[in-house]
Amino acid sequence: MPAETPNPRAPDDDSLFQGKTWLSRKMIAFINSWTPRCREVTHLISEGMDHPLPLLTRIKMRAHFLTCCYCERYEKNLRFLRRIIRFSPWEKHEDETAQLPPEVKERLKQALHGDHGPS
Amino acid sequence: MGRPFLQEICFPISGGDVRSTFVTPESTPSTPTPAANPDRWVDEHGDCLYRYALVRVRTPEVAQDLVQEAFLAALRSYEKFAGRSSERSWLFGILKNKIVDYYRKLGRETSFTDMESLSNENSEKFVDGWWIHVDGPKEWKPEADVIAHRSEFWVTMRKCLGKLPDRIASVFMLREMDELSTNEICEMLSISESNLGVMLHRSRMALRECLEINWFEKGKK
Repeated sequence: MPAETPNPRAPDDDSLFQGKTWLSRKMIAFINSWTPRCREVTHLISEGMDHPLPLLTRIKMRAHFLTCCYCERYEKNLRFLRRIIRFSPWEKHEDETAQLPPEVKERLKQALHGDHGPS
Repeated sequence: MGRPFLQEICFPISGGDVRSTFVTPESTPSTPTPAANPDRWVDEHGDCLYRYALVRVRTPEVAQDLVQEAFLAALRSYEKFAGRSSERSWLFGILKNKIVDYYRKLGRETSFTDMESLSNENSEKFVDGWWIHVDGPKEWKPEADVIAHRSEFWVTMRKCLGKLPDRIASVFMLREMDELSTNEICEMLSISESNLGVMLHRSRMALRECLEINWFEKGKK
């Protein structure tokens, strides 16, 4: 993070490099000059869930995570969402209380009888 | 990657994944089948089909219309139903195609206004391209199995999905719930890969934040 930008770290920041020491600040400056900014990293994280990313891009993302726990959390959160959506019972997605109202069922039956079906 | 829980009461796809039913909704014709019984279809499968459509199109009236269209299409093509899959799987296949047609139509008619507003909303989380630290993503400490079985969580999930613009929600559901590949979705909805990428990114960002605020962080406050 550029030192001139006022963007104080949150109390729960657990990034490896937080800029509290001279070395940490130097590492942050170096990594930030070499890796994309957070906005682009979030795009790449999403893209990485749909296509394999080039090796260098993945390395840069991992390096970015050393200074930015927020992007790392963002990736973990998205992976978690995918996992629970894909591996939970199908009905969980649906509103189990939703039912076709009786009048709609009646309308459907009438429509089906009015149609030129084989029966 | 297949769904491990497809053999559920309401969604009995047998021996195949969702993809195949999207592509070929109607079974190959061959053997004669007994006469169709539309009244029974409505009573036995109506609610399941309706719930499936409702979670995807999110408007009860539209879901009802799609179920009706699916039943009508099934009735017209009943002679082609070979009985290789269960009647419900066959009906689901037809309904899925009706939903895809609806998505296509939605894509042609939806303006990008909603997407732009979503984009502006997301841009407020960054300053100069970096996260605003105090508003950045929080550490979720989820116990996935426990959460996935809480019905309240899925109520929140549906509410969050309901806040997404229709078009963005539809691509998210096709990708994450139905597990279609990006190529399949692009072909289905006639959109470019880059356009799809942007929509998926926006849907994920918005959904993640909505769940964080309304579920993961709610109990902490």
